[in-house]
Amino acid sequence: MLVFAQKLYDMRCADYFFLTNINMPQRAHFAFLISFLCSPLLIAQVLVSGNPSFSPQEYITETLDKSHQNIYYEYTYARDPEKKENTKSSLTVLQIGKNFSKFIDYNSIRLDSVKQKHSQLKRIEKNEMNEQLSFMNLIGFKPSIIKDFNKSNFIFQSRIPSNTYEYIIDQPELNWNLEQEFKTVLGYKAQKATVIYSGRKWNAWFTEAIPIFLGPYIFGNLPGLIIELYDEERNFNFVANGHNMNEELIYKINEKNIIRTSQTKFLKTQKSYHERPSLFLRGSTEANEIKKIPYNPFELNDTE
Amino acid sequence: MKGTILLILLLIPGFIFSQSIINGTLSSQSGEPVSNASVTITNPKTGQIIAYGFSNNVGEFTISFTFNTEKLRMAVRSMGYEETILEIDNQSQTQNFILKEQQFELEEVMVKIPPVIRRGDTINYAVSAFSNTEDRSIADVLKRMPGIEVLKNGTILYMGTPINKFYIEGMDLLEGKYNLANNNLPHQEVLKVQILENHQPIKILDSLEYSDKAALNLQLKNKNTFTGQVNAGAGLSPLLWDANLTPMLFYPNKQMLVSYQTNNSGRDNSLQLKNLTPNDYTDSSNPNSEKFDWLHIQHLTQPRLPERYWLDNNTNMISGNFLQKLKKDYELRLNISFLNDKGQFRGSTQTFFFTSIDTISLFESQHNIKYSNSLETNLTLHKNTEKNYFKNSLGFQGFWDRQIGRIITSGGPIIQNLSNPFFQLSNNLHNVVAFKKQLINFNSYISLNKTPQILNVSPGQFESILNNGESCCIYGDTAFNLSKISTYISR
Repeated sequence: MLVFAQKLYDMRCADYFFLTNINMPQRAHFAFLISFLCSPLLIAQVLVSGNPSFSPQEYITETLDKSHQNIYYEYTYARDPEKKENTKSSLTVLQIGKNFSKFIDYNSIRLDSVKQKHSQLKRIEKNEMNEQLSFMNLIGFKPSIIKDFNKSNFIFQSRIPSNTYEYIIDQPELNWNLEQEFKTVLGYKAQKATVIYSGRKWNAWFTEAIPIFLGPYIFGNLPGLIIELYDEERNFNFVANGHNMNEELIYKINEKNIIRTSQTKFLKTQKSYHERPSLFLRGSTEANEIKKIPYNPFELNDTE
Repeated sequence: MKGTILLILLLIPGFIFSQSIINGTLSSQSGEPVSNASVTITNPKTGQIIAYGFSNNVGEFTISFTFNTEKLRMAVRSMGYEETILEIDNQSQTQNFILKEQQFELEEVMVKIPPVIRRGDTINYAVSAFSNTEDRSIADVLKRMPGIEVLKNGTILYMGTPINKFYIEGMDLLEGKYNLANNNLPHQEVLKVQILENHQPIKILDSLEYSDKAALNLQLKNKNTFTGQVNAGAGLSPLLWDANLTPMLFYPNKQMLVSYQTNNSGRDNSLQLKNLTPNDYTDSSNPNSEKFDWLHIQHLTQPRLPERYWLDNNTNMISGNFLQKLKKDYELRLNISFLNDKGQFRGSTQTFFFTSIDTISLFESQHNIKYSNSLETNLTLHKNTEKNYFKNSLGFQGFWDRQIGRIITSGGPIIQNLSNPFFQLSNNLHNVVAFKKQLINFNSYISLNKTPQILNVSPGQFESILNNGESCCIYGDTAFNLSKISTYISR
């Protein structure tokens, strides 16, 4: 029972689905209840009630750098490649330091700070779980991507219930095609560039006025900051909407039980999680089939 | 011929666009190499970017391109350094730069951080996920939802505590008599079941007065729903029947539920008229609001089997419930129900006393008949908004109950005749208004109760001495007239 709750608690609610016939005693004292909001139009919401109680998860991070620039992007995305009209959005941030930069969903940072706060508690109970879940629900861009300027590689960290995975890829060769198209984004003159990366054609709008050669996701290496980015089919759209120079910590998760793997293996695991979520959430329950979660990855090629 | 053309085509680009390679190093004024700076080559006439590159760890860069102009513009940009622009000739060359340090300033653009949406304490269950093919009413599905329990008498528990409201589309048609809907509403009509945790039914008190109870709301699939239950069954020898006709209607501004149920097959329909929610706190202080039997005839022990296997009844039940939304957020509700029942109970006991000399045997046979006729009506005017709570309900309850018990012993029959009616006329007014920062809470409960209960037992004890030769009579007539008006102010 508790194992199951822990797994759900770990899970980012990427979809709405229902758990039926949860194997639990009928009496009043059963430990908890989790339910999912059924309307697909609303933000999927998991709520925990009852009296679950766990010891908190460990929260260990390694600080790599401090940012001197933070670029915010509004991220609008289609969760289901079949239903592109159903988009959701969240806020992502590119934190730029001296030796590292990090691209992450802003709500992941908020969640981390909540986790850190809770890691000092003796027990995690209903309220704490709900607090964490309310942030998890807002996360649109799942991985945290840290770029190491010196090694010129990317450290990806992402959660698939109920583990954190980490893999490293080298800076991919991006053969940008500069197009003779210009527009104004956030008051900056931007030029269009296109590239094919991992099976998708990406359109980037960069501005020479900002000599930061980075952008959302792993994109960059254009002679200016990417202030707008989207794939040709408009599954994923990033538009810069803010900037500040606050000093933020650039950190990575350093849990003991982090799973270090390769990109190919991670993508396989992620895919099978979306197809058979129940395998990842089984715990002590009957292996009820939980509905498939639509899978719309950035990477279409399983690159090694 | 073809070969010549191909050769020419291959040579032309070579003549016109010769490749240029530009390399060099970038360093700061203090001599440190500047890495990760961009070097762009543009066409000075159009501003078009021809090629670009970045300096490496030691500040070196190499850019190769093929472009046909005489002059080129070369720009070096890096965060923390001044932008450097240079006009060069279009040919391979080495260009070294010493960059001037300069604080990089970008105007801050504020970002609106989206708020965390915490959806109160509402838990939603999709009915389709919990229903099976054999289910008929919504109650059958509710039983299967985790956290929800339905007791034998129909009380719905959430996390072990009875719910305080049962809403259909947010409207409280039946108050505590929700069994009527719960047992008769087909589950196919219901989209989802919502549990509202810590539900305060009085909106003006929401967030002021804490409630630990949950409410249940049924969300229907359609805005306008007309549905119901019709079923009938019969059996022979003895003639048995069980029929249920329950049409219901749910519109955004009106709701209606009418039910006629009759059976003699041992089902106690009166349960559906029981009030299952804990009363408002105004009512709970009043012990006289329900029928109380002061007198009883001798009962038979109940067999240890479910009631439906032994109950010999003949029940007719009619219930009508109407709700209409009026102007200014008022709701008018009328609930009428009539129950007619005749129950028969037979039993006998035989007792043996073993003494050293003899065995004494006592035989007692009992036959009880219970007649009940009851009428309950309630007219309620209700307003529940964030600023005002008003509820006035006028109710009449009448019970014309009679019980006859015959005990046949070796000493002759004893006949008990009980008449236990109960009448109540009551008016309950509850009003909460906000007055500046105070809340004024006004309660009035007025009721007239009449309980003229009579129990006749014949033959009585020591008839000739105590009762002038007449049968014994225990007599109770209670009439309460209670009036209580309370007003209090709470912050």
